[in-house]
Amino acid sequence: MELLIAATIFSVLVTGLTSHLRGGGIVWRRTTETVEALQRQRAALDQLARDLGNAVIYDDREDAYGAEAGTLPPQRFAPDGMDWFTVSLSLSRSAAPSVRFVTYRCEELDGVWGLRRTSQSVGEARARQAAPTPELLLEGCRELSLRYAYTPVEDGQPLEWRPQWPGGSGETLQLPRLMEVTSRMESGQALQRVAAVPVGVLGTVE
Amino acid sequence: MAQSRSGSLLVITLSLVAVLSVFAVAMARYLSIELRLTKYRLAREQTRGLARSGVYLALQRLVEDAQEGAATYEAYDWLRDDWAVGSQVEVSQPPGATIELEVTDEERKLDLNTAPESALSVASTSPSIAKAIVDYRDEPELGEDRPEWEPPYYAKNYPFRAPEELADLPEMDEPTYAALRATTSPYLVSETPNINTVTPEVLVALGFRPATAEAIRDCRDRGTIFEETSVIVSTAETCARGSLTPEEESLLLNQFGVVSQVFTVVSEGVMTGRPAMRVRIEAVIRRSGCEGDVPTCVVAWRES
Repeated sequence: MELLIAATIFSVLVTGLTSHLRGGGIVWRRTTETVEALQRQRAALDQLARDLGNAVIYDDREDAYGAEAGTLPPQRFAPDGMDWFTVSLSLSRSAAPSVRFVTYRCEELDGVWGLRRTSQSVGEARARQAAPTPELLLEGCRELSLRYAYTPVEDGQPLEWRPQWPGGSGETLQLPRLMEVTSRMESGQALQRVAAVPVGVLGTVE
Repeated sequence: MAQSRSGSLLVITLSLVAVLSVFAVAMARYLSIELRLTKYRLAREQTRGLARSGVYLALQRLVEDAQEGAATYEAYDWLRDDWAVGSQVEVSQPPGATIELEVTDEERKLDLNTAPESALSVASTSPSIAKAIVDYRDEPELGEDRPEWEPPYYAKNYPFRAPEELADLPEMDEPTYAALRATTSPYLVSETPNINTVTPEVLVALGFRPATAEAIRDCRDRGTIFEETSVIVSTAETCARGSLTPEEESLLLNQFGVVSQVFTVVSEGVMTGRPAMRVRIEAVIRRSGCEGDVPTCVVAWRES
């Protein structure tokens, strides 16, 4: 009898403990997955912000840009993607930094949606010999949505955010000073960050 | 029999305690790693913020230095100017945080976009690189592009906008790149180097004898200032103890100024303690020649 009671209490305890451990394990796994997903998102947006921070206007002649081989690919700050020239700094101090043409898009490739970055040397970008291989920065990105900061028409008003750059004709070969980057994920989650280009300008409303 | 049962319960209890201990240790370890990662991330963001603040602090100092009527106003820029002295700014929060600032003017260098091939040849110690620089920036010529190379090469036929473009030149190697970064700049507004700050290497590249270049540097190190363009030759004559050649006199008369308008700011945010962190930002600030009504502007920003 004694043994039966002890075994019953013991089995109740073990069952309770096991279910708690299982529940804890599930929470732990979900938390770990969420944290890892957040870290991947942060790393992708950090890379984007770094490329924007080091942006340069490689050439300020409009006729230097075009679609033909030999011309420079045009910089583009659109509502759904961006292409521009940036200075890539290697993490290794010994490697020389260089000017690169980078693009960012949320697109589907081989059935996988994601935020993809391409990076080419200026020579490769001008030659148009082969499409650059996109690097998957953030899996699950379905839509990249961008807005650019404009000086308000009236003093004292907050900045205006518009989906197009440039606003005025004088801004074709200028970089936007601030942009709001929103990445919508397959899960429905939206990641948002405001990135700055220190050498850029605020748009002017015409 | 009773003794045997008691023993089994002890073994089972100890096993349970062991299993729970393993779980507890694993969880503590996991949490400790997460905590360290979070601290690292926070420290990195704070250090980055410090480094960015340093750039704007340097910008403010450069503006104040140029304001006529300010307590320290001088119509010339020299190596012991307020902006030129490296500084370490202590920050009250977070503890152990500092900003290390180093400001150098770009007028101590050759203009990468206008320097003659002969000067670039001396500065880079490579005649072929000097020729490549001139080909890169001058008018288009037949056959200078090499789309078949790996990576393809195209001459820009337009001025350099960033010093990093030098890395694209054919035959460029690390020592030459470093030498050119130290002696040339694409950011200059004026074509005249500042005689108060110009390096001996640049003087030699411009055609001075090494002895004269050293004499001018020694003279500056002893506190001599070239206060106006009109006294450059006479002051240099005193520095060189009357041994200037006619060519050197002619160079001093036409090719130098005494002020600087473009500056490179190296700002490092530093956090001591755990985790120790260092973030470096290099920015180029222009004190004149900015577009619009802006008195100063950031013309380049490099953040790693």
